Amino acid sequence: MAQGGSGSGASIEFAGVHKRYDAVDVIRNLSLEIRDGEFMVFVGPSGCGKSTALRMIAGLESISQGQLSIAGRVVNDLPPKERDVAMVFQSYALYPHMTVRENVAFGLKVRKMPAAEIETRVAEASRMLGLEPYLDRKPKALSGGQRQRVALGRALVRQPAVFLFDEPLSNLDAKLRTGMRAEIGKLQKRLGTTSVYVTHDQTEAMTMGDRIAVLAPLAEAGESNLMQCGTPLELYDRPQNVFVARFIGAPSMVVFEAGRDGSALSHPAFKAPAVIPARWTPPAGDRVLVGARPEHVRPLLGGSARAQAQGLVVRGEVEIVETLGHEVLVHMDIGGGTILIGKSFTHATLPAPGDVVEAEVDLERLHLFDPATQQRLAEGV
Amino acid sequence: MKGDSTVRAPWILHPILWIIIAVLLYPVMWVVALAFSGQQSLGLADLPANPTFLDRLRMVMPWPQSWSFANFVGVWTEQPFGRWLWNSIVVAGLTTVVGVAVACTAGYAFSRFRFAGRNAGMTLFLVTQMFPGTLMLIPLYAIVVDWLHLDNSVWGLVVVYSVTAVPFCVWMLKGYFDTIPTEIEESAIMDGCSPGRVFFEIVLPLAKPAVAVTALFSFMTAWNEFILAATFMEDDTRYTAPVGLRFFVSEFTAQWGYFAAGSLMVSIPVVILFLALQKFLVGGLTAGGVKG
Repeated sequence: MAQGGSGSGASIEFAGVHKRYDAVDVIRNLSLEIRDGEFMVFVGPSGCGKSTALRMIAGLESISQGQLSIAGRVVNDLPPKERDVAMVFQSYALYPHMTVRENVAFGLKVRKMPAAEIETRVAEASRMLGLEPYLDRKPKALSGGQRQRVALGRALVRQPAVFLFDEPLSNLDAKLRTGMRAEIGKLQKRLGTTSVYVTHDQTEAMTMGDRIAVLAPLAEAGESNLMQCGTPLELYDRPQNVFVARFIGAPSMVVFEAGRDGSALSHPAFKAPAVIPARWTPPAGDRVLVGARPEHVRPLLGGSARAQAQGLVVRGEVEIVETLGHEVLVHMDIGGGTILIGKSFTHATLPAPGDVVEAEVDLERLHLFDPATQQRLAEGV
Repeated sequence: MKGDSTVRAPWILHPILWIIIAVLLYPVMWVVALAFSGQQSLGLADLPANPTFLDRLRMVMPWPQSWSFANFVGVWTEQPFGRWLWNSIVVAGLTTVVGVAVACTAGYAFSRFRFAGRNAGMTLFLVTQMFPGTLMLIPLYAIVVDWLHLDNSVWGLVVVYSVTAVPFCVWMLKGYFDTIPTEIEESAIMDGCSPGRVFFEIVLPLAKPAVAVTALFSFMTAWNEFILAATFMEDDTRYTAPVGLRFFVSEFTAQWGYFAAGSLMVSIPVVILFLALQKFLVGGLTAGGVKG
């Protein structure tokens, strides 16, 4: 299927966008550019405004302040049908009284497209999505996955400048979700249409997005809902604040407060003070927030391992042991926080709750944040 | 399982249900028997001088001594019954069209839009239903006859019946529209539909059961009404069927046979309308549209 009709150059730009319901701010000062052909994922917890932002692009929500542009054209006051965008809803939102064929063709019929062209596009989309056997069925005779395919097909035939996806997979079971995730990703790459995808599932965000915009509820975010925007690896490797550090990655990064004296970090659970790598610019105060991902925390099993440890050694009591099959997660209480050890244990070395264990944290992979601003400390190269 | 209350219950309930059905159907059967009896008196059988139990039983059985269409023929020939029936069809038909049109649009607005006076409006609709209809007679007469000069006119009755039926219909339709997921409408908006097209092509087809009930209610409100029609219509060629029927049973005459035959014929259009609308009275029209 050819790329969007009027869809060339369909970048999207939020410029200082606010959304208020009565006197309550839901979105504040959102500034973000989504490039032409990009797959952008909005991710965040409930109430962060990700769906509202998407609905503002669709034209289903008004913009209280600021400017929203699609393909360089300000669309603040344009009705949805003049924005050349198609949307896939979380709940499918199919027309129950129409067959699959009529559902898919409806948007084209509304636009008064010639019948032959409608037929061609419907045939093409249904072939692409495997909907051919179901074209004459009503939505109630389809499974959840098939319904979501119809919803996709309905967006696809329009060949719009922008695709909007509002948590389209959250109603599907885990297996179907994985399959559809790959299908949507492949389709988007193939069509090259600018897409904005909303999800609260960070696995979806990490696997699908060219870039991810992490949004936070205003109560946590402060001046703007947008906490960070970047490629999946940028967010994972260099989270710009504690919110993103904790939100991206499963299991989450552990962030705890430590004392600072010059470049030395101290904490009751540390076996010895640790020296912050030189690339970090220390914060102003004598406290610092330290973040560590479980995969960068290694258990020290046996005397020789402990003797050879070069990094930051922490000691604490095991709280819970989670066996996931491919790895074991050990939650270790370090007084005022819990650190996760994500390395593989053997059956023989698996600790039990209550055991006191030692673990080595890779100092080079630590993340440091300013306790006052919650922002990542400046780093040299 | 033997002794299981869920198995035994129907056998206990059956006689009770049969009694209820008999009580409900007895008057209807009496009207049918009277209509086909060919006679005008209320009694279907004569009681002999020394009646036996069977004679007495026969007196209360809704079964004519002989079957005849004479009452039906008499109704059509002795009075302009066809004209009255036609007047009723016109009044009830127009009331249905006006009532459904107003109620659908109002119900949708109350369901989907937030505006000043929305809650007060719905409450007011409910309040109007709390007064007996006859209480409205004088103000309605003042409005329809004195102000609008629509006495003796089909439109006068249509206006009155429509406003009488609308509050209930708006409540019912609003309740039904509330159950239609807004995402379906938003989906149509994204497909390029105007608000009007969303309403007519998406919402109304999904609200068919409620529209059918509303139509039936509006039709029957107008079809069965007697007091207002008798008040506003002075010319006997303008009478509706219920008003015309009273001529058969008046102070001086009591042609119960004609009355019963006329009543049966009056009920036929309602039965036809019900059968026609029955196919829309189904649930689950929105099934499959959104994740349930």
